[in-house]
Amino acid sequence: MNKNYITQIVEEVNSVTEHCGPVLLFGENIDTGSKLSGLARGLTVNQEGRILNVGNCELTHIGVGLGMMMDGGNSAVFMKQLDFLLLGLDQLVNTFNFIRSTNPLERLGSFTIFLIICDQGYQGPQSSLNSAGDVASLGNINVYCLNTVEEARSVVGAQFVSPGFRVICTSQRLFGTPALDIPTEMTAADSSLFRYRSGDDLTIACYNFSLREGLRVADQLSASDIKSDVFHVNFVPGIDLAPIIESCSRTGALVLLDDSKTVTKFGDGLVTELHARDVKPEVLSLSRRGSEGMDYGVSEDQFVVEDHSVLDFLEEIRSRPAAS
Amino acid sequence: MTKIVEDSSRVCDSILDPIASNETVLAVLKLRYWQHLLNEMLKEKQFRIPIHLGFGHEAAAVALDNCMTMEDTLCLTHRNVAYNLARIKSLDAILRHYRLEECSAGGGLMGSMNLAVDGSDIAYTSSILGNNLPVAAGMAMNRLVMRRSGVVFVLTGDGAMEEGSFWETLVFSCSHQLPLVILVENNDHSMSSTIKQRRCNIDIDQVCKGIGIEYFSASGAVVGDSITALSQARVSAESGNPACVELRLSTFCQHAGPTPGWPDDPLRIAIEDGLLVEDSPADPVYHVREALGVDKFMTVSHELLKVD
Repeated sequence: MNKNYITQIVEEVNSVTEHCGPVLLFGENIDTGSKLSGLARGLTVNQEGRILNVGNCELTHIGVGLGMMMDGGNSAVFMKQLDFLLLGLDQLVNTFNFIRSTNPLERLGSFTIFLIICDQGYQGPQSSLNSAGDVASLGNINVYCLNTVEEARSVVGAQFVSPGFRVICTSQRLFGTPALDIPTEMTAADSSLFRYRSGDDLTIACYNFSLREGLRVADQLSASDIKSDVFHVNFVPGIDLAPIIESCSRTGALVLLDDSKTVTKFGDGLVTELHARDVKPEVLSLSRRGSEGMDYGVSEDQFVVEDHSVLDFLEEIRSRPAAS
Repeated sequence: MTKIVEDSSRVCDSILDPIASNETVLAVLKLRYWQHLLNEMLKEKQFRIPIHLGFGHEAAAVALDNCMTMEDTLCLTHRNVAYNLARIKSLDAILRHYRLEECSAGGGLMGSMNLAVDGSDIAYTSSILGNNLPVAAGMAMNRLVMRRSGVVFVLTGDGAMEEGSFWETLVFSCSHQLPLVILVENNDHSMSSTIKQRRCNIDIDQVCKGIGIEYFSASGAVVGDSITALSQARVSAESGNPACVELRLSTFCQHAGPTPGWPDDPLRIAIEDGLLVEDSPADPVYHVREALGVDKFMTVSHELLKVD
């Protein structure tokens, strides 16, 4: 029987923390009450590790984690929501700039920010920041969004306690849902890129937590005998985009899915990269860019692709007269 | 709470002689001399980077260097020149960074405001006010997790302590009994604003008392006084009681760049006027002269100039 999304992820964390030696897992309410809505429920560490409940000072938490890392130690801060990380942006940008310019990676310990993105809607205007890519862009840092079991294994297994710094995001709207346990057809060594479906008709690039929607669209298209390459793209500096570029060269059509409300999209960067390599697929961007004013208040906060949109896009391409 | 009674004249008689050895006295003079050289270089516009000198911070820097053991770590601010010099004991080592000739171990150039010279046990230097405090707390936390000895010293000032990170770090370090010493250089200035010009008075002693942090204070112009306060704070922090040390001192130079900083700048610092900048107890070199006597002070100063 499938475990649910968050249980599966916590198990992956435990599989790392039971063997990694001294490690500090800390956070507000990490071992009390709901244990961060389940993010830290069932969490265990080895005998040399510690789980520490700490006060409400996110700026300091990020500094503490980076300081431990500079001192050769391993830690992870568990954070209830991405919104709280805003208080720690100074450390995330400025301290990490110092660290990466002055310290060789082998001198560093590990620091992971492990957090929930409140994306289930109805949380209100101050609990709805879902733009992991903005954090990645601001600091030019590794930010991973865990969409599937394979991604949890790959990202948590290789990154959770590993020299350097990264942010790993979970989606609260997926917490109680069955874990998505589907095989990957391709996994980049740095967990920057995963491919789940193959096809020569369309390339679908999914960002943030839009993979499930991307797979749903791909399966619908498949029923019409339209086969797609489906990628989930994480926010990793220096990412090797060659597999997507090759896919776009082959399919000639690219659909970008991004459920975040960020205005500047990593998908835009992909299109720029494609053009720089003289690969110019037809592009359909099914992404939100910010929200309307009232949508920043309490609102249904779901990203759903209209069923006909991709089919219309493909039919429009096919209906064009062939270039002479 | 422990509080050191301050009386510079008594300190000179009773503490400076046994504690402030010839070595520390010479170190204060040498730091002053090196800063004079840097100030003259700044007047000649030799550097492409902004440099924040610390005329008046020499005794505090020498005292901190004197109190640190091999297991200890230091986190600094943008006004770090005296501390980098005190730790690395080489003007050339600093100049290589100021001239952008030497990279860090990670390959980047540090310039001056983020300077943490390799081999100095300075782990982090931040030009963002208050930013270094949580980082230092993390380094102290790592000592607990890794069961390592040693204390982390972190420098801040009466301006940076207005940032939330100062208060957060006090609470965090006390809550988790971190081996952390927070050194507040109180020079009554944040850039060009005095405390009175920008905020209400903050009694750090009372703040520490309210949180449960050990508090010590001393004149940052008197090296022996500063050594005693920092040593006691170190003992406290090592036993799991984080401490805050307030050193009151004066900064005689401009916020950044050379002094004088502009043609009609009322501040004047020039090496041809001698090592002493202000003939008052606010100047660390004044206390060195008092301790050595004028004749010996002149001899030592000349010897220093001759050696260099």
